[in-house]
Amino acid sequence: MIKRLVSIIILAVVITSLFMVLSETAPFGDDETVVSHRYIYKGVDETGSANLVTAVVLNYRGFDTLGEVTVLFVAATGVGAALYTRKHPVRKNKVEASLIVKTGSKLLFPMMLLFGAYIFVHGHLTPGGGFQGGAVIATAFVFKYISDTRYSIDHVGFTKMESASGMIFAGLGIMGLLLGGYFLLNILPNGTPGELISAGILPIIYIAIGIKVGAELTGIIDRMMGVEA
Amino acid sequence: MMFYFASAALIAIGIYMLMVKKNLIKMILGLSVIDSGVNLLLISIGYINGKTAPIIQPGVSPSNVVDPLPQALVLTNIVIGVSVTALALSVVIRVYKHYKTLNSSEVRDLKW
Amino acid sequence: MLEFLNPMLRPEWMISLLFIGALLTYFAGKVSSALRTTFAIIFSVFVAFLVFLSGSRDVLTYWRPSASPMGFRFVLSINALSWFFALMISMVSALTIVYSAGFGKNTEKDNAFYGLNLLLMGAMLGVVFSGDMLSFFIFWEIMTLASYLLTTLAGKRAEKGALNYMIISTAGAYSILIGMTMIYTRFGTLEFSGLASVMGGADPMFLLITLSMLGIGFAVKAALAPFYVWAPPAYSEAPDSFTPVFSGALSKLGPYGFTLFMYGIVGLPALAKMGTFRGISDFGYIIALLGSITAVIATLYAIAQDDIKKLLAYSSISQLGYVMMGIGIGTSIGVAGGLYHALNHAIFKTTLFMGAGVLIYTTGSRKLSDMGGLGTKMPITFLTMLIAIFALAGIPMTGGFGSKWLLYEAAIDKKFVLIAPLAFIASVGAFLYSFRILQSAFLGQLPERLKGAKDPSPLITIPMLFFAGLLVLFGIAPGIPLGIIASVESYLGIPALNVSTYSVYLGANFGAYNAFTVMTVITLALLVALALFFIAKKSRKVGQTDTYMAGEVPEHHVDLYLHYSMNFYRPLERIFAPYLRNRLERLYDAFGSGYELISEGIRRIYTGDVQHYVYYVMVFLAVMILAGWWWL
Repeated sequence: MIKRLVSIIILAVVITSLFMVLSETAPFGDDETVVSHRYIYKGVDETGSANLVTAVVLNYRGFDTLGEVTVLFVAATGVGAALYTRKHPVRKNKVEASLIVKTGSKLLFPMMLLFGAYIFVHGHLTPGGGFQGGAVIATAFVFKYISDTRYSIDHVGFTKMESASGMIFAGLGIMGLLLGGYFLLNILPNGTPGELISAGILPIIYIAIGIKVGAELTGIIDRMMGVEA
Repeated sequence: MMFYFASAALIAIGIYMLMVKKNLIKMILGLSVIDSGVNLLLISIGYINGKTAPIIQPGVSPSNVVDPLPQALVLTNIVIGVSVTALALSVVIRVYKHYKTLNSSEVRDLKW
Repeated sequence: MLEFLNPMLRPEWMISLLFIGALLTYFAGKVSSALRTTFAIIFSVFVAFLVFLSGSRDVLTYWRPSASPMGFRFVLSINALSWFFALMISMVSALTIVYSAGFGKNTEKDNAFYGLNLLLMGAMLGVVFSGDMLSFFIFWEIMTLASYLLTTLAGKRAEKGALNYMIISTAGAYSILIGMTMIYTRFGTLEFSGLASVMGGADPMFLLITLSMLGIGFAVKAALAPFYVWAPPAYSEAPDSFTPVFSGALSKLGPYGFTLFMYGIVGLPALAKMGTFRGISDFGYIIALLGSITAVIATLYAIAQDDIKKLLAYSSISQLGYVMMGIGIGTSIGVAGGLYHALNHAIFKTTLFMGAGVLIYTTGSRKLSDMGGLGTKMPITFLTMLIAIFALAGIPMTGGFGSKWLLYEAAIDKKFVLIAPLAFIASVGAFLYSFRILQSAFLGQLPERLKGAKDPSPLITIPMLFFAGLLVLFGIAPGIPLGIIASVESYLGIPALNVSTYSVYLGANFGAYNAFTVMTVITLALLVALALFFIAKKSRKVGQTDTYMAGEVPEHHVDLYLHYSMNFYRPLERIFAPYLRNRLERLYDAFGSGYELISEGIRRIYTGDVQHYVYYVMVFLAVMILAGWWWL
């Protein structure tokens, strides 16, 4: 009990003071930073992407994103390694799903895949992108897992897709290096901002990321589903 | 300003969970809560009063959008958060298989 | 005749030839071991030849500007000083590689052995040829790593010694790095030629600190007094065909570093600003004193050894102490003596370690008490080692006499009442332990099991004969090496020694030393002694155990306990034993265990409980915030 009290007091001190300082230095609703100013005013011209967040994520900080994808990949590998079993994991769901869930999942599964694909294909135009789209796709597979106790993904196919999309991302970066002199250079024309085919390589990268993230998250879920508790 | 309070509360709750809870899964939940709090905080730092989402389209001029940089960072952070949580959970599954307990103070092999 | 080689007489050529050769040799070994050995010999001997040719031209500096992002230039240069050391190093390394080709198998991994030997030779040449601190340090590190790996090739037995060597070397390298960084931040240049013009003007305190930092690193390589603990195990446990390089060539980089930085860069006038003692700088005096103390301590240890390689290892330390003594004194005679002794030591210690390798190969044991009477069976080995031991003990007819004479004169010249006696004591000790090798291995009775011993193949004996020949040549004509050393001295801005081919003139106080006269006299005396020996010969051959056994039937183990090299210097050892119980090693051990204890205490903070860590972080934050409010 005394432990909880102490921790609450310490927390109160730390958090309050930190946020007091924060609201002094960065008041809510204040103007953008210097570097963002450039992104906002030049972003569309420089990258051709209507969605400025995408412009930042894939163009200005594209290398960062490659690292991020790598982190996710390493995490998926780590999950696989931590939950490794000698024989292929067999799912052991105790409860069958109800008829509503089963029928609903059959109806919704293609829609969810389509929605996920829509999100990452339009990553440079509308809110969302590869990571979000990938997450939606993975959710579709979660649905599948819930509704069917014997369902299991095609591991080989997923691994191939994931590797291929990762290689597309890295390959585009190296193409930029070869053609223009630096990694992840936008080697395709920018086009008209706001159209589907615009913003150079950004849509391609986001599609690759979407497939990769979807495959990886699904792989993580598959691993965890196969665990005997 | 509400958002600042909310994120402060989330972070405080998350740290409290880490400090007090012994259950490994609850601690990972605490981490996730801190994660959400930080994400919310970053987004709200990037907010500019009276402006809209940073997507330039007819009717939205660059002078009219919020800061895209924190949003991009948060996007990264979410993915990293997912990775951390997934990895931590799988380790916890292993720990549970080995020790048959989720109580962190009963996992004593790395302590002296 | 050799004009076509002229474009290759550049340091970058020599070093890259060796580095490429190292790779080629290693991979050639995957194909055939004969090819590998041939490659190794060709590359090393060729480069040694190049080094030899390059200095016979003129003292030249080669610049190799490179577009590095930091604006550094990597400078490689050949000057009098670096050529002198490069000659020594390349000679020892190349001939040792030839020598090791004479054995069928040197280590478990011979591909790596030859490859690393070439790499090490390249790195050592790189150290002496480098004209800026950055390349100096890079080559220095390559050298340390290569020699560490070579030492570990001897197998499990060598691991501890090699690790000790690596740890102490790393500490030394950090020390060098700190010194170099300090110099760089002060003067903004890495090049020796640039530093030489500005370092002289630096304040004495700065010079003292930087020179000490650099000196610690060099002292480690030179096995100077408090830092020599790595040397005996590393020297003695390293592969038998690598120890000649280790002791003969690699250890000379320590004296080289001292010479380069003390005289080449800082210069005598600036050293004198740090304070002087009887005309030499305090810094140099401390180095000289440490050198002479090292010489005595290591000699006392060497006397007590029965293991031939350990004996030679301690002897190396002690001889390097002499070298450092000469370099520390820093007068014309002193530096000449130090450098000359470094050259002599490189030659005779290489020969001795080579001979030790042959003995170990022949007898299968490193114990002197397992050998005996090999003189008649292995005359070439005996002869070469005899000459090397003459040089080690400083007996006229060999180069060793000249260098030791110069060193004593240097110490006496400045009336150093501590250093000179220490040097004399160490010299007597050197004679004692080197006599032990002769007596135990080559004279006396031949054990039954060594009846079939004979001289090794020409590949092994030719390098040894070459070195022995050099020693005798230096004994007759000390002007050859001392002429080079005199040019090194004038390059360093120290008054050059007055030498002609056969004699050395030290000035009015000491007169001259005419090697040719000495040689003639000694030869005549030897002939007379020989004649007397044959005329008045009354000895007869006796059984090894005759005197001891008093007619009793020998037991089977009697060879071991009554071998004359058991307890060879027992009375001496009894006197010194209380002072020699590995004091320094214990000090290092105490430091290690104390460090461990403190670390263990610190580790207690890490409870392994996540909650505690979170508490630490939060409490720390809270304390910082409250303290911040309080103070601001």
